[in-house]
Amino acid sequence: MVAFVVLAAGAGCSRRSVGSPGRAPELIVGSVGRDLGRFEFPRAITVDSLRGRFWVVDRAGRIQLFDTRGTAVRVWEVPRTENGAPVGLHVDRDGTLLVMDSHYQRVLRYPPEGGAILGRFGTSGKGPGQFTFGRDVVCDREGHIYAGDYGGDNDRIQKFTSDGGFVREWGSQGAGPGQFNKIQGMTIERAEGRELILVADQCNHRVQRFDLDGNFVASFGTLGTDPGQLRFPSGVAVDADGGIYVSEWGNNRVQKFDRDGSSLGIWGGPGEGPGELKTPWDVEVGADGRIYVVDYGNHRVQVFRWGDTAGASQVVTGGGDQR
Amino acid sequence: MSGLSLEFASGWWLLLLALLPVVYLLSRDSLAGLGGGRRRVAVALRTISLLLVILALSRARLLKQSESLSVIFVVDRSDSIRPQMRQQILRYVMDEAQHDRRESSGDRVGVVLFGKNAGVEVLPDDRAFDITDLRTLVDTGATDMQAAIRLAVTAFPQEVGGKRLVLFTDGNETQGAVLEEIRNARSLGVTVDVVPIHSKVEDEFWVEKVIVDPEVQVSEPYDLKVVVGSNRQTTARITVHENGVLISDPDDVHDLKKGKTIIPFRGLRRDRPDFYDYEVRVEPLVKGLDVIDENNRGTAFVLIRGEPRVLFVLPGGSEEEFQRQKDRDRSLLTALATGKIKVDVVRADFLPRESGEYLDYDAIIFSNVGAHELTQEKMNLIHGLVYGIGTGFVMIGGEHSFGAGGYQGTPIEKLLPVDMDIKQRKVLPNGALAFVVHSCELGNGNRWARQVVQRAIRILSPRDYCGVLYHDDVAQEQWLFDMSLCSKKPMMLRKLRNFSPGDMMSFQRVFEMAATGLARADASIKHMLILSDGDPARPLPGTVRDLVDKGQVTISTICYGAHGGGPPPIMQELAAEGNGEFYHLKNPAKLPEIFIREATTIRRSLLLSDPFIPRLTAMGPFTGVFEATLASGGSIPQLDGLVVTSAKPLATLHLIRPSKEDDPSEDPLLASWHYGLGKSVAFTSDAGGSWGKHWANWSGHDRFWLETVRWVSRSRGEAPFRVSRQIEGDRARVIVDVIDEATGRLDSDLSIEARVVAPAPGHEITSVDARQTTSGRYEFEFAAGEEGTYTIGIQYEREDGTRGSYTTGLSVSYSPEFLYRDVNEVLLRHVVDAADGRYFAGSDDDEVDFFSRDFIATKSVQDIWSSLLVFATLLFFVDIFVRRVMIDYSAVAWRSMAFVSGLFRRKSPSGEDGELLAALLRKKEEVRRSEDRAAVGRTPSGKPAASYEAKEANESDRSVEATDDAGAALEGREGQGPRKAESKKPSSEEAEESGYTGRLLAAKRRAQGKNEKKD
Repeated sequence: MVAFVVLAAGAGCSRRSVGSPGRAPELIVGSVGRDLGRFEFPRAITVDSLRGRFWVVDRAGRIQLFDTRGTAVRVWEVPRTENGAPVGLHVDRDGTLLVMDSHYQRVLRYPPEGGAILGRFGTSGKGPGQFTFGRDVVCDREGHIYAGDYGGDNDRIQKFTSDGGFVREWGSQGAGPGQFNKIQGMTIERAEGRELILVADQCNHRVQRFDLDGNFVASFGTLGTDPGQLRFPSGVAVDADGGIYVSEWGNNRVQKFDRDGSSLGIWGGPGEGPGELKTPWDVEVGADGRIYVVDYGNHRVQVFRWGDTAGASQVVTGGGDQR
Repeated sequence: MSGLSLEFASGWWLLLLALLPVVYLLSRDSLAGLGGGRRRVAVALRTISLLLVILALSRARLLKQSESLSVIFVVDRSDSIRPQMRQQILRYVMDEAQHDRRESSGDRVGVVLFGKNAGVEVLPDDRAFDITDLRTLVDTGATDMQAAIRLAVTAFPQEVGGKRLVLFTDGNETQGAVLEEIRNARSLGVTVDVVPIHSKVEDEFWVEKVIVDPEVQVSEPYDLKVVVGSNRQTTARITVHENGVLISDPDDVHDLKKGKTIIPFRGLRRDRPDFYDYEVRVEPLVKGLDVIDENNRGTAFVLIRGEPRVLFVLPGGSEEEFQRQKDRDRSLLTALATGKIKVDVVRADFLPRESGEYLDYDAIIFSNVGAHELTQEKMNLIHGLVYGIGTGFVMIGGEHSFGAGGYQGTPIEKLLPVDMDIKQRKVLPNGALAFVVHSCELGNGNRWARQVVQRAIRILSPRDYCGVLYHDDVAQEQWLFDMSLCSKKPMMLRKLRNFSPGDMMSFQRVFEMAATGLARADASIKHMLILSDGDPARPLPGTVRDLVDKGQVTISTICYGAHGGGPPPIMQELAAEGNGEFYHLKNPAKLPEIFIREATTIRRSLLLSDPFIPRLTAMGPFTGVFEATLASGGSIPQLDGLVVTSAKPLATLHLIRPSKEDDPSEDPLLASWHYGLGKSVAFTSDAGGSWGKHWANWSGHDRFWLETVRWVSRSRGEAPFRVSRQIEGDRARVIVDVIDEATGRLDSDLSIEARVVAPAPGHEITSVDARQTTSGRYEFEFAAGEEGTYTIGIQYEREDGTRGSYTTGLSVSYSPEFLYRDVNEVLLRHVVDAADGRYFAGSDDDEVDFFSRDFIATKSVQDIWSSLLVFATLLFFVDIFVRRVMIDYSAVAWRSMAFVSGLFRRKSPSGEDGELLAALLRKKEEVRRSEDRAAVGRTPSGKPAASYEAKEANESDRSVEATDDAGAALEGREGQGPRKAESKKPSSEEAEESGYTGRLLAAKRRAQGKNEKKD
């Protein structure tokens, strides 16, 4: 018995040492399944900063809308999923949902509660306005749309007008400043009255910062598991105070940085329990400071606040009406 | 809720209970020296201990009876149950589990689904469940109630009281024998209720059978008759297809009466020997006038035998490859043609799938055909044809044949006289293969990945190295197993069973790991095969070049599940840089072929391109030409290479590649053996390509091949048989009438052996016993529940030793599941009777309550004899403890209090509390000592208390003292030391007593002396 206890304690210790322990999340949304409120490998998230509701797309191509309590209120599917499902979501200032339909080389626009597609742009290719494998999409204050692309030496960011007109592009395949090796999540950072774009440059294990014209500003992160280092960053988000949150697919954690790229702490660690992550694919921050992590391998979204101490988590797996 | 009782498996041991009073009396006297209380305890312990031993010997078992009920719904999912009905049943079952279960009694509900196989969908549980989306995969092609009941019975939890199965089925059993299993279930206390499922439909017609003589002569007219059943009078369109081509009027409409209608197609006649496959389709004129489509089709075949024929198989893949090999084999094909052997040349990828189409071939020849061109199903079929019905088989070498062609571990290797694994060579070039497997997100991609890697590994030799790299589900690059020798195949295959590769972001790390792993492998050929959707980022510049140039590694890539827009260039680029192949797949069914082809890359080490003069080592029926050549002073012509194999122990090795100074190994060139009813030959060089060009021009070439092919071919001869076949349900019955050719009468002097090769995909071979039912008539039966052609090989031997064979076949048009049948009530009633169950026929009088309490509660049995023995042993030690050790409770109390007072003193060394406590303790100690003195030599019963004296003799600072038994046991050690008694002066005798044991002895003697004085 004693030996068992010692072994169990030892096992616990070794597991903790793999990554930083995750504090209990405030809310866990979803579990594996195809019912309303459940996911089959959730892939991307976007949060409506005004109303606190959020949308999640999963590998089955289902987009679900959740209220602030994590209750699913709507679900719909993108038109085609034979090649694969969308991997990027963004809700613009008007509440229109932009969906990076990566495997069909286009961006779709939906009303916030789903329904008929409002518009689409993008075709397959490497030219202006075309995509190889679009990764994420974000909008600035003026309504410009920025879309990251990857595949076939086509690592770049394209800037579009709000109606999908091509404006400019920047970036290429590589590891130098302004180059990319697999763009993943993107977000708009607002600092000192200007807007900048943060890009998770996944296989260069860094986050790059650009101005809205594509000029390289800075980058932070190197490959590793220590604080301040990154391993396959997948999503990036910024809070109201300028804190930058990066979900790390390869380290199974979320790391917070200041504007200068200094690590402020780590949340998560590999595992299946509350506060633990399995290949997180995206992160978002709500206006109320809640941080939403797409816990891909665990088929759920975990919601927490930075600085929360351990506490009971609320688990939501159901939903309301379905369309 | 539950009751307990005891049962004895070997009850006669209980007779020993009669000893208990004796033991009690003996113990009471022998323990008289103990104090009264301790003696009673000791006697009781001893008695209980003995009682436990007796109970253990009698194999006591605890019987638990619970009143809870477990109900397992056993649901028929076979094709004979209409799809909508299946869904209704599941909904019904869910509703029952949710609403009718007695929660207060702890009732549990489980679900078992069955068809051809059975699976537990829900284990018995006391919660409601949702089985809208089923997890259990059931083959719906048959109904095996026996398997279902067997499985369901094992699924019951042990501790329940009632065990009830509720069987939802139409009772149309096509496999197994449910009644056998019911008896077993009943013996385990399981009852079986039956809910019959009626799937009968209003409008239905079906093809009952297609009747045609399966064997006719060239130009002989024959009729084809279609028997169509219908449950109402109607009309239908009936068409006949021959080898896939419509041969009847497409608008041919026939009236069908209620019952059976026979529709003949007369006057068929064919002038060319061949296998003619007929398919009859019956279709309603108006949609909806027939419900079950599957039974609207009937098949049959006609075999028109001609001259002996051989199927010559060449590599497929592309027409160019096929033609190239055909040109190489030109002289061999010409030789066969001149020898009047009819040869049909076919591409490997166009090999027939149905066994019936092989019936007219006496031998199959593979020339440089790789295993990757054959499905497992076709390999099984060829194996079945050779083993089961005696078709001959020849494999001719080339770069895609034998081990180099990936035949290791395949059914083809089994039937060949040579092994692909090499035993005769001490040093053999081997290969190393590293797989990189990236999660495939589309359509069961990971399942495919598991299967194809397993298949590829199976064809590697134990001397080859193999490893699998992937990303696990927490994004770490891992070796599923590091580069290891394939002698560890069982470990590899085991790990692959649960292999679930995760997503991969970049190829960089896996390339680094592969480079390290492959560098460690001691192999002459190193290859890397990447399966991915092409999504991972490319490795850093130079990584691939280093691997290829420095590591001498080739790289092939397979792009599957690319994310739209065509295959990502990275996959093509990696293959180009790695001097390997690139494959872009949309259909995963091609994966096995590619994996095997790629795995054989490292098996090219088996190709030995080195000129040699073959040496004759054993004569055989087709080696006459070599013997003649050698006898005339000539020599067997040179060959320039072969595929290295090793001869099987029972094979005859006719020709070998002799050893050389620099290569001491001898490798098989020509080997043969009998395999099952057939024969096979291995010729490991080629028949006219780069290795065999000298042979192609050799004068003995034609004779050699003609004699070889004739020897290996199945012997024909006129079989003196009249064979008739019948299908009844899922059983086929074959009647063979043996006719004496001379007299025309039935002949009973034959022994007959029959083997049946089942249809695709398994092509399993079954040996069947043919029994003589009357003189000259032999009959046998076999299960024919699968759709397709069953090939039947009949071998006979006369009393004079002459032998012959006959092959035929039998077509099953559709699974018996689609036969138009109502509920098999007779069988289901038998089930209910045998299982003390209830039959819910669906009438209004039925009170359907699957959770009714009218069950005979079963008892769970728990063997407790081992526990009883453990308790008895423990009590034995306690008994010893009680008898030999006396605890001085007052001393314990005193020391405890002293300890406590010490604590207090330490806390408040000069406090009042401490002083007060010390005073109290002192006072208490005085009282205790005075009481002890008063009690010396007296027990409550007035008898002497030896232990008290011993204590006194031993100073009171011991809390535990030995008792009289210990003293008695140690009598032999008297006088070993001085006595330390203080309260009494020692006598001279006592002075001789020594130490602890001596004091105990003295105490005992004093007690005995007092007793004697008293007496």
